[in-house]
Amino acid sequence: MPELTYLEAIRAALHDEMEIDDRVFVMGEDVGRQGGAFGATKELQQRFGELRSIDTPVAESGIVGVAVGAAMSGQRPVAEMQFADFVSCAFDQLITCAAKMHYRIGWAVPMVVRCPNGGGVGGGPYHSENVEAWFHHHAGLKIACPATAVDAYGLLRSAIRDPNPVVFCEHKFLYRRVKQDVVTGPRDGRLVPLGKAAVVREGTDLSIITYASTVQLSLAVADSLAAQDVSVEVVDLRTLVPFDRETVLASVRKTGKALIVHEDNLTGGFGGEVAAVIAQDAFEHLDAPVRRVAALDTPIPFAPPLEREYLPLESDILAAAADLAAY
Amino acid sequence: MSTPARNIAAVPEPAPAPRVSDEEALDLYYWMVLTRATEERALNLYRQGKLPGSYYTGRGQEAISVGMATPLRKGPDGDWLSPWIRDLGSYLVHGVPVWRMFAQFMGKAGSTTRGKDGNLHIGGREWNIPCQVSHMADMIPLTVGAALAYKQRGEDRVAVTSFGDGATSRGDFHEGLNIAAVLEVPAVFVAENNRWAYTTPISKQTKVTDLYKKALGYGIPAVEVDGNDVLAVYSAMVEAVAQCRAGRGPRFIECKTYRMAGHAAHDKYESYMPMELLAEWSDKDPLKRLEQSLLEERSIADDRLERIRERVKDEVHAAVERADADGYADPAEAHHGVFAEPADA
Repeated sequence: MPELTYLEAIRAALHDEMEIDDRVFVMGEDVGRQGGAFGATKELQQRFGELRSIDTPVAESGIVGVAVGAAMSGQRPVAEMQFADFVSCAFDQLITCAAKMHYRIGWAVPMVVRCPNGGGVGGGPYHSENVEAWFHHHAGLKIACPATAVDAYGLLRSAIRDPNPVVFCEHKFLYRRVKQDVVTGPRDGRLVPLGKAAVVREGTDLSIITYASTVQLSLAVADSLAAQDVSVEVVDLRTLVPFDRETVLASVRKTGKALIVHEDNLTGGFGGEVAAVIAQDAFEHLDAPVRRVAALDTPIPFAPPLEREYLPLESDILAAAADLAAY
Repeated sequence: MSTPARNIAAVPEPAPAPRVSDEEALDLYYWMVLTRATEERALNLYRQGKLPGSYYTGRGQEAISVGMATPLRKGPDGDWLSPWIRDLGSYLVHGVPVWRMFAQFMGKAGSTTRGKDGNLHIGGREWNIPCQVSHMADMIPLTVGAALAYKQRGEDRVAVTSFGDGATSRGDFHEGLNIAAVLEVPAVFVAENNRWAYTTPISKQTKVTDLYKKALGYGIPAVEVDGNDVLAVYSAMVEAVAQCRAGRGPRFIECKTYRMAGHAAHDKYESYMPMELLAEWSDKDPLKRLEQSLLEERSIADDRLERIRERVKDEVHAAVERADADGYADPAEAHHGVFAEPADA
């Protein structure tokens, strides 16, 4: 079992799906010869040829639209946005065509749009965006947000096999910072189903519900609070659509306290939806108000001190969790 | 007499117009008569308050909708056809039954969208017609994607889409054409230059009013044809499709035509459209021209045309009756179908 970074796990997932399914292909800006800006598609063109690893013009709307048409015509496209931020150019194609086609005529659109998501890398306002909340509001798109190398691999393979359009938000801060043993291989690789949250740490006093980059931070917070005899449960949502309400509700009913954490900014973020579901369906179990920790409601600033101010840090999560535990 | 496609720089020689037999010409006539009769009947139903929403017609553009669809292979394994809102005839020629058109306009269960979408947002795998959207030019990249799929699998299928002059201002027109050219996919783009986008004349839409020139800018061989001459459109399409099947796509055809009514039935176009222009184009009516050509140049007896017109009348009548008798989908249908199941893909 190889130890892979999050990024290597994504590459392995693409490779393994392309190996067992001729319909799968990757496309995007610089994905072919270069293997992508981050290297997620490295050597796929050399292995599978130019028709299955396609360098495209700089045209995100066109790229996603082409993927929709190819998906409807029997292929399994995986389109790469060079940075998640650029998916704003393709918003129309995702919302107008990809998301509504099956609802209108029952014609499936099995495709993936890979979005290198998130901040913490000094990318500034146009290379750091968290885009998941742009899409969860609209019916018809699935959204995956893996936090670990194992999930990046397993969720991406499931996303490619899913008959629906999937916005795959891979966190680029995690690309080279997370490493794990991953069971790979075209036939033996381990898939992770879409729509199944993971209780990544069990606890009894407080639930932290989170996903993507803030999962690691929340686990660190759980460690810190354990030293103070506070038992924290951490739930990693893994996918926002489908949203595994049951796992979240079961956790909150057990602990009676909920802290929702995401790197995306606060207002209109997915955390608001999680809070609403808890308020409606676990109200009688709550011993404290539902709290949220998220980024500032501003664009993402560039300079490191400003970016740190913007991002939810481990210390912010720790302060909120300690506060909630003491409530 | 058919007007040959005018040759443009990127094509070395004008393709000789293929000889269209009398039977083929009569077939084109049938589809054009059916298209117009369907639209006229639907417009009447709209005026009687029997159709929800508005109603969009392609009156005067039947030569394009029928001419471009006729050379294509039908069925789920045939050619991809994504016609725009003025091309009711394309849907008919490519296989959608007339009664389902009316069911669509009425929002009935028998519509191709089970009442979830209206007007010409019609489609289905069984005909390889994707369901168009309201956003101009969005279907262009999709069509490039279908063509890419055929190329990847080594199939000699073609993907075709049509759009109006207004759509050429959208980014997806430019992105789609550019990608198609770079990837060299078997796609045919049919631009219907009817000189109006809702109330906006072509002069305010673009400085390049010959739309084929935009395609040339992307390195796509392009021709312009008389869009009111069905034999010209058909011939240009036969040639473009043959080139694509032979691996020499993409291709672009601009059909010069005129919008003979408002943007939709609710549009009071008399307030902005010069009436003398309308009168001028009325004389170029594509159906009248084909009829003339059949009677005078091909010496086909009028009673053969009359039989076609009678047959169409019966078909449209039966179609409206069937759609009328059809029910609405159960309201529960509104909840279903957001996501596909694995068996659907």
